Amino acid sequence: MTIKRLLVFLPLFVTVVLLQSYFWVPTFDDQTRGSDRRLTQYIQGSIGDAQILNPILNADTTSSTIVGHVFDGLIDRDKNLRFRGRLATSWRIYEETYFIPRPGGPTAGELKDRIREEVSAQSVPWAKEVTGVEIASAADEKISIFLPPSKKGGKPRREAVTIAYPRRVRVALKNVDQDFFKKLKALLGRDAIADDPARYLPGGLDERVKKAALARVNLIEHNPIIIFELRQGVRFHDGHEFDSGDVLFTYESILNPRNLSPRVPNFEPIKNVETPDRFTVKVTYKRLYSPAFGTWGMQILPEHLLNKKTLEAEARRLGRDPEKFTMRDSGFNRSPVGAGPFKFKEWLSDELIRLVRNDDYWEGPAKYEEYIMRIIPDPLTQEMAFYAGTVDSYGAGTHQVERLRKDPRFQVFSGLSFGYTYIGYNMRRKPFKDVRVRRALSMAVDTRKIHKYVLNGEAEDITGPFVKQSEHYNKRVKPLPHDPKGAERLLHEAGWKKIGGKMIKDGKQLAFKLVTNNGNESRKAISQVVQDSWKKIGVKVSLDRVEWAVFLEKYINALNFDAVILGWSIGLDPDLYQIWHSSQTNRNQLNFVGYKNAEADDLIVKIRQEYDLKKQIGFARRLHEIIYRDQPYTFLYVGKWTALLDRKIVVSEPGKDGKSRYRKILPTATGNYTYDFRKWLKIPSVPRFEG
Amino acid sequence: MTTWAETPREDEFPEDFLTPWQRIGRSLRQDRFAMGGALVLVFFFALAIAGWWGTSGDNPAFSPSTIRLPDRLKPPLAKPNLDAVAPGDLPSLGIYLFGTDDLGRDVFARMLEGSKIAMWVGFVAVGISIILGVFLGGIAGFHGNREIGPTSLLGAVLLPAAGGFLFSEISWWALFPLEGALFFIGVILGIWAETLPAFASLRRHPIFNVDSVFIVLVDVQLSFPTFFLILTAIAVLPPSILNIMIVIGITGWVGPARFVRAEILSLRERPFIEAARAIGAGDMRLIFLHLVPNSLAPVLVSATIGIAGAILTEAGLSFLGFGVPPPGASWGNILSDGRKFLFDAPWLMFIPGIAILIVVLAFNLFGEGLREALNPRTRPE
Amino acid sequence: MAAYIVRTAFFKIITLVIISIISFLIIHLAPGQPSQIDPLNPRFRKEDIARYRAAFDLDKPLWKQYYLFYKKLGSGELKSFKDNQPVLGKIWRRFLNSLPLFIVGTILTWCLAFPMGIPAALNPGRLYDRSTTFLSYFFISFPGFFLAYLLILGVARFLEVPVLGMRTFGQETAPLLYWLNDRIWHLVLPSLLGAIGGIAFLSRYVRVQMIEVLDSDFVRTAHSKGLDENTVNYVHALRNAALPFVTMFGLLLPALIGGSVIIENIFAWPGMGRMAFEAILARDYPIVISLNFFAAILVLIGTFISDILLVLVDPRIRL
Repeated sequence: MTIKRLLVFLPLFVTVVLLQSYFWVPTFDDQTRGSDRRLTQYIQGSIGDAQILNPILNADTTSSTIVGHVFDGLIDRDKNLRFRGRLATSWRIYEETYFIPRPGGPTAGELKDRIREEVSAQSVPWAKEVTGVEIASAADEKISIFLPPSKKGGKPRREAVTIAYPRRVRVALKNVDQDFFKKLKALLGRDAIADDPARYLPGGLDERVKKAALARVNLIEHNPIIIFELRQGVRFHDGHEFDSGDVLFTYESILNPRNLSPRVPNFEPIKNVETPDRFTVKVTYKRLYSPAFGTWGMQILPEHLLNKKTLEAEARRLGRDPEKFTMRDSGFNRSPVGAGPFKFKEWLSDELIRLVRNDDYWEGPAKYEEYIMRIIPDPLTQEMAFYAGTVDSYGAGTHQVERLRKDPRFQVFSGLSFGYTYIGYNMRRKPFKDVRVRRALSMAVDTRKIHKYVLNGEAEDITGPFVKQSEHYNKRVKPLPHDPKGAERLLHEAGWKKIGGKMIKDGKQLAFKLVTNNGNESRKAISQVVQDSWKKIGVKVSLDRVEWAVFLEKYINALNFDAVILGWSIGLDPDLYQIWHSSQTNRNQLNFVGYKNAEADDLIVKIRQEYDLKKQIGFARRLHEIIYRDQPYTFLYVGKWTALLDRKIVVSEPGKDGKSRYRKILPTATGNYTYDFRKWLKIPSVPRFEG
Repeated sequence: MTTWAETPREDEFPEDFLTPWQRIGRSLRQDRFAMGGALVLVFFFALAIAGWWGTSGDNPAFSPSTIRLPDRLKPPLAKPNLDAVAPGDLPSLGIYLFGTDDLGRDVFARMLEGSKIAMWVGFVAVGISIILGVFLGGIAGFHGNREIGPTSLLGAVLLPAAGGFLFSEISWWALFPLEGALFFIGVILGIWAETLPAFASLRRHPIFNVDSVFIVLVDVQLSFPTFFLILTAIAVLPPSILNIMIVIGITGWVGPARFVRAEILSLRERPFIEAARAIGAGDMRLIFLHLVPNSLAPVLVSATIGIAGAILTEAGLSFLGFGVPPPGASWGNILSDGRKFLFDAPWLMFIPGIAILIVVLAFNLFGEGLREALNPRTRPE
Repeated sequence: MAAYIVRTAFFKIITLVIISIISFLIIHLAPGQPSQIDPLNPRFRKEDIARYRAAFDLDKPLWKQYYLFYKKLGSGELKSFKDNQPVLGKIWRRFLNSLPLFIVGTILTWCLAFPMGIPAALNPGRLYDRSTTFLSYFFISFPGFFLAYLLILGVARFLEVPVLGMRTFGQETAPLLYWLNDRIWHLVLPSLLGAIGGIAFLSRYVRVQMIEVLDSDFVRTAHSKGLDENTVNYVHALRNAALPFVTMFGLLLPALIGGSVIIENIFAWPGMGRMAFEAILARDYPIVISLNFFAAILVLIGTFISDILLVLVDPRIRL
């Protein structure tokens, strides 16, 4: 009866072999079963796989997270979102300014002597700022003018133009001063500086070319300069020493058109990058543009692994044409080498990316030995993996926050996102021209209701266009109260009468269309809440939702809308030029609501030209106030994120006696909980902290 | 049991006196699973028809797409929040029978709409498979022994190849019928060519017969992991419920075709076919008027099981994001949209999941009952 | 025998050719010009279209496109759109990842289906038969991913152990026994889920076959010879009933591979099915076509082996 027995015992055997394995697997509470290696690993879940592990080429979040651990930049931001040095130990920012003397007036030489005299006599308050006055010899500058197609369907073209600069005066300043020429004019008289750019252009230019070229002639010029002192003795993971050549190489690679780097726009304002010595980098900018400083958070590539020679050798080894072989094709993008706290170890597609600790890291090695990015495509299984202890962090949806906060197994962090959602009014159109109407509409909207119903309470009021936890945000601006009666009063002032529940002026009800994009359910929900709120003050709103591409093309870019619900995600740099400056109100530009305010314009330009943080913050807070007063948008909310960590993860710091001590992970004032990541460690059981 | 009736009741007839359908009916009635399945199916059809009537039109009785944010993720049987929801948006039943989803949509209304779509997908997809299967299986069963000579083979290869050469950039909806037509024309031309004296010598070298072509076709279809193939096709095609039904239908022809072929193989030796042939009935007439209708019983089995499969396939596609496109609600996409909320609103997964389970199970059990009824040997005594 | 194998091989090759054509033509399913696949999809930009045209030689006649495509695939020149890695290598690595799932799935199917089906056939209509029938259909009717979630939910909630992926992290340096069992544990759920349909289907089939054989003359003869019940049932009857199962081996394979798309996605298992889905989302057509093609080849090989085996065990088939 062997067969019969076999039919019973074989399945039984298979089942037992399979099921007994359960007893060998680590559980959430006992993650060290079998091996305590788990405590030295940090495992992050990700929905999608990385695309390309190269800091100048990547464009997706998974890649940029990995790149952030493998590479280091020159600078980053500290707890308070201020800049701090990483690969750069310090930096100095100053500027060189140039101006063309007015033809017929005093010559460059005379002006130079004049300024030198005044400075040495200390007769002007800014004399201490000046570090040098010289003559810059005459020089030609070749520029290329971009001409958009003249008619529809035509091709854009580029025209080369040479600007012939005469001898100019160069004044070097200790600090960047956007008002320097105002001061200089006060000293030398209005007429000392040239005012006719056309003189320096060649004759016989086509009208269109000429018009564009005129704007490119710099009668006066600011050249801000950043000098970075680099950290010495930093080594890439392959042992090669990091120096200024790597910084220069990274810059050149970004600008190299063959690499098709998405970072090009950030580095466009740079005039040139020089390396006076191995550990100094000098960056000269074409014009005043303070947000450009932040771009040096850009991670630095190792030149010796990616320069032309190495790439050619790699191409030959692979049997590829070296002419067509670019950095994009290099194997480096799948096994990067940087100078960051973690070294790349392996990348198994759609499974994981494994990094190991860099023991030579200049700031001391991280506590974790490995950083693993696991790719788990399904959000629900990711959540379950977190509950099973095989992923260390989890980003909770708004509907889960309440439940997870109560769970004793996890520590919970939350903070505000960088961005906000708003209703934008087309200020070119009739009812919205009047600020009272816009304010009334804002006052009628119950933002609390939106926070509660649409976002499960995981949102806050926001009153301005800056990141709420940044210093530029003006906390003194108080949100408009939710006050339908007040809104009606404002509308009465603006000439509307409420008759039979309808706001009427000149026999017509206040009515318009509110559009948003299809596919974003929360915006759809908001539109319904808002419609209802406005109905109560007698404003009739019809709703429309269209596909994103159509929405942009037919409504936003064509400036053909009454009101829209949209959101901006914003960065920490306070440059608002594209969204709020009055020059950006044309088709296909971002100030599609058509906001124009001379004072705001002035502040916007000042902010992007100001290198002094305090002054910049002052301008920004004023701008915030003005924009909120004008209510071109009804600012609806800034969302909150919630992240969970296993409670067994702690910060490990050396105590007074030299032994390491554990403490709780504390978020920074701006809500960033991963700030101390390099000191994190997992311990076998949930710790108890005193106090 | 005593019966006073003069004439014996149907179930008292010995089996041999019953028509096949009566026999099947009788056998089914004895099968509790099959009867249970049938009962569920009747209920399901009623629901689907109710769904049809109740959720379509501009102002449906049960609106599956009304969004009520204040009433998000309400558990089943919860009452609506009368202060916050517009009176026109309140659920028709006064309560949320099956709860609401993350947008406050009434799950009951969505399930109703889903039952309509499930029925649609099941029936249309299986209809397509059956038509294809009966056609191919019928030909294979009847003409199985007909040999294919070199000329028809040549025609069948050359013409479609030439078509491909000429129309390389044509779109799919034109290409496939075109190639199919060319294939048939090639075969027919080949058969005709064999009658020509010039090719007489070739006639003696048949390569294979119709049946082996059929087997190759079946082999091709079975070699593709069907779900893979369906997923690929659905992903390439624009999202629409019609495409889903067509693709599921086209890939499901093997079952019915095999049944029909086997049945016809056994039927065609029966006397009534001989008789029909004797009075001069044509081939097509024989196949589609006499043979096919008589072989439909097993097709019914595979249809029943096919519908179950189609509903499951749609759910699987929905899970991967390629199911019935929104805002249409199918059980599959209610289920897969609900998975995010497994811990916070489990009913969003359990209600559609269990509904699919029950209906598919009912189809399967009913199909199994039918199969048993047709094959008395495996029927429990 | 040799003639049979040659003939079978010949038909398999024809099948293979047709499969290769269909795999290739799927891409022509795209509406309008195949060169403008999905112009509204933001993932598919101009440069992608150019790459697509180059990869498929779209300017050439269809037959030539077909020829060049498989030539490139065979010579290893064909590259994935997504990361420029050769298609063959990528698929091979994923196949190796999926292989343990297929193997354990197959073992489970064959080990569990017979013990489920045979007792049911021996006592048709009894409680055991009816309950296995019901259970089989119950599991066939369960939407696969719903069942998977329920199982994962149960494991994550009540057992609090990891179930996702191929292994637990941190176990790399654990003693062999821990390491091995960890790998096995991660195989249990996905392979069981992949096999569940096959088990249910096969056990039904076993039952039907057994019932038919038990009803046949030679079994009656064996009984009348006075052979003991078990010998008749498990030796004579089962051996004859088991013959057709050889073909089932090849036929159950496609379901296992096709089903892996959903299972591997849920379990974050980096195998072929997962790869297929990622490729479809990224419109990585070289991968999609090749995967369809290779999956079909795999099945073809499976059925070919089945066909040969069938002849070996049952000489009647050769006719």
